[in-house]
Amino acid sequence: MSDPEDAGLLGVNRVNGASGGESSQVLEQSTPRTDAGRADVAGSAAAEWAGLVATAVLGTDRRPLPPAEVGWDPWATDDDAAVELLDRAAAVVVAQRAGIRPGPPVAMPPPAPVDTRPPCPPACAMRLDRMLRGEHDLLLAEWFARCEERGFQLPWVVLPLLLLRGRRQPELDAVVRRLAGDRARWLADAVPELGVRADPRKPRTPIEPLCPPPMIEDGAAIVSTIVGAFAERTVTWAAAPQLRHVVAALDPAWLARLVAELSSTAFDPPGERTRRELIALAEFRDEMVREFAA
Amino acid sequence: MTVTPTPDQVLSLAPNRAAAMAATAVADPAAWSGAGCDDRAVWGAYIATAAEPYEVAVDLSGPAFRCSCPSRRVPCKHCLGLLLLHANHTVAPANRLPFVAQWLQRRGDHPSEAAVAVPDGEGGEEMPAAVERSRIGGTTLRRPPPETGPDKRRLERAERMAAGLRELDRWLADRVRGGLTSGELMDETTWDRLAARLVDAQCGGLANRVRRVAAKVGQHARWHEDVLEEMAILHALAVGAQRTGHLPVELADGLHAAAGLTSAKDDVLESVPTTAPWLVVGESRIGEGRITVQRTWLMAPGEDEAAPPTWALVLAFGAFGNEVETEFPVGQRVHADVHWYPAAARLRALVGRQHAEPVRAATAPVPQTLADALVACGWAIAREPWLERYPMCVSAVPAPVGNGRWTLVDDTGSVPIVPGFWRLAEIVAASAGRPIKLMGEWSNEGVQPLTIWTDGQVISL
Repeated sequence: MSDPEDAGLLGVNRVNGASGGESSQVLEQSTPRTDAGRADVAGSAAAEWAGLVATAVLGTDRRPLPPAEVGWDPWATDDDAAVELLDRAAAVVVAQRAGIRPGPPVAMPPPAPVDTRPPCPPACAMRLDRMLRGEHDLLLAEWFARCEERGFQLPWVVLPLLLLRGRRQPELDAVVRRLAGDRARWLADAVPELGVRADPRKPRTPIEPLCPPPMIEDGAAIVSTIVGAFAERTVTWAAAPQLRHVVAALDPAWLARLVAELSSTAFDPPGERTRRELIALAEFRDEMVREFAA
Repeated sequence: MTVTPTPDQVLSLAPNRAAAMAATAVADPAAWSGAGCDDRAVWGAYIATAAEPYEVAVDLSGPAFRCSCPSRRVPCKHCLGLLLLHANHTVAPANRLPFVAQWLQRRGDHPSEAAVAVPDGEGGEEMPAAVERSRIGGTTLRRPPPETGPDKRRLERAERMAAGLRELDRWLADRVRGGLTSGELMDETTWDRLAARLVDAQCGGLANRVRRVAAKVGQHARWHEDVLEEMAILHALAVGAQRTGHLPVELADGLHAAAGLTSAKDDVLESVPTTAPWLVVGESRIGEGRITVQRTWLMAPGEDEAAPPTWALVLAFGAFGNEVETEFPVGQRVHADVHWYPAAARLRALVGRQHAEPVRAATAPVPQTLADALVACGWAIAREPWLERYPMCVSAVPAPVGNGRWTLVDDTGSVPIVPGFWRLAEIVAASAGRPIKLMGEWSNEGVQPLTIWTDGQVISL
């Protein structure tokens, strides 16, 4: 039963120098094996391994090393029991690791219902990803509104994160679950370790789902007011939050104009940080709008 | 009495493949004049290039090398080329030329006493392998005495490593003698002392490995088996690394790399590259002590549908606190020369010349079945049993198997995902319970997913 190929399963064979020269050819034959041949070897490998573990746990000083199983005797050669144990263990370990095969197929839970909406375009998905990392997250509500308006699927890879955030932000949760459709419930059931409910608790007071601020129509006036404030150097950092909300609500058609005009205003130290922030926010929003329009 | 070497033995003296090739070019009988040999030495004048011919001589009893060329490499390509001619029996016995007679006289009658086994490494960057490998006939071929600083350092390093390997193997046997349940193994300081000793012995690779094994002690009820597995692999490494002279060159190179002796970058870059449109498919970062190691996986498609892909691993290191710079972002295609570190299972590589600007890859890589991917892992482990990770790119469904454990499933079976993988829910959400294209690292614990491709997006996990 000692299949000559067995010797070849082991790089250890040559590492130990047990059979020196012809090793490289032997090794070449090592991997693909027929299933019939494998079962025998795997059986004796398990028995060989069990014997070695039993002795190693107590120590070769206290427990004799069992004789090698069929097919594993080439490595039972050292005078020192401890060294022989390590030799034989290496042979088994390498045989098992090199002979690794997939386990039997497992029962799979039902897949999520098919979503017929078009997938979220990669650029939009990446934009959302940046906002979830904290970049201009003031615009999150608008992102969801535009995604819904275009009828895109959510970028599913961020769904767990959105649902987790939704546990503390019911307004966000409401909009995410509306856009996710069946997928949110499916995911909550499929990955219970996520700790998200399949159906959110009924709130005591009704929740307003997250929605973007109403659009400010008179873009021309807003742009000239903001730019004028910077030109007159009356803007300080204290005004920044309010200005950000204005930019987030501005008619998107005016964003590029705002960026251009703000970029050409003179440098003014007290307002500089705010100016840069507004430019970045307006650019970010402008890009987001274009991505959804594409 | 010396025996004529074989050409292979001569070439094994070359510090790297490029030097070996250069030596082969020099071994042209037409480029030599006055070549001759006797039973102690071989000599000649190399006339091919210089206005002034180089006087070349090799003392076969050392061996020792002498060449009037400006190269500081010992042996230089002229010495090796001359030896090659001699190995091919194209040098006829003759009377010694005057410079040869003088040189041999200076060397005296006991040349080999002063000669010592010195690895042909440099600052620990190369391999001591050649020492045992390189035999000329019956005489072990040895390097010149360690007169110079670098030579002495190399010698010391080889000795330190050998001592470290012996000590490691003794330590392993002692643990097996005393039993894995003895208190010593549970005591972290037992392992720390061994790791520290290996660091002293300049076997850094083994020290890190020992620390990873130590972390497995007491992890779960059957930890003895995990630890015995790793001790057995360490044993194979310790034994193998002491016997590299008897092993095929590439296996010896792999053993040295695992022990902590890696090839010099320059030598790797001199090797023959594999040129392909490489796809950057995965990236992982792990802290090893105070160093962050960034592993970037490149993949080149196989020749045809059935052929497995070729993998290359590019490592970058950042000292504690310093971010590693990402040279090859995941999702890019890099048309480049990839040079391999010598090993029996070639994975680690350097990117040399790039033939075009890196671009965003338009397509995702072609996945393998789980069965094929594991066969590739198995082949690699058969070649280098101490391999801890091997890449795979598959299309599979993540499915739970209970107790919070998950597997990847396709038509060919199932493969476990590493326990505690914290971004599992994201993969499941993206897959919707259907096959998803995924790249990951296979290890003994399962697949560690690194990248998924979904809806036109490449997502690094």
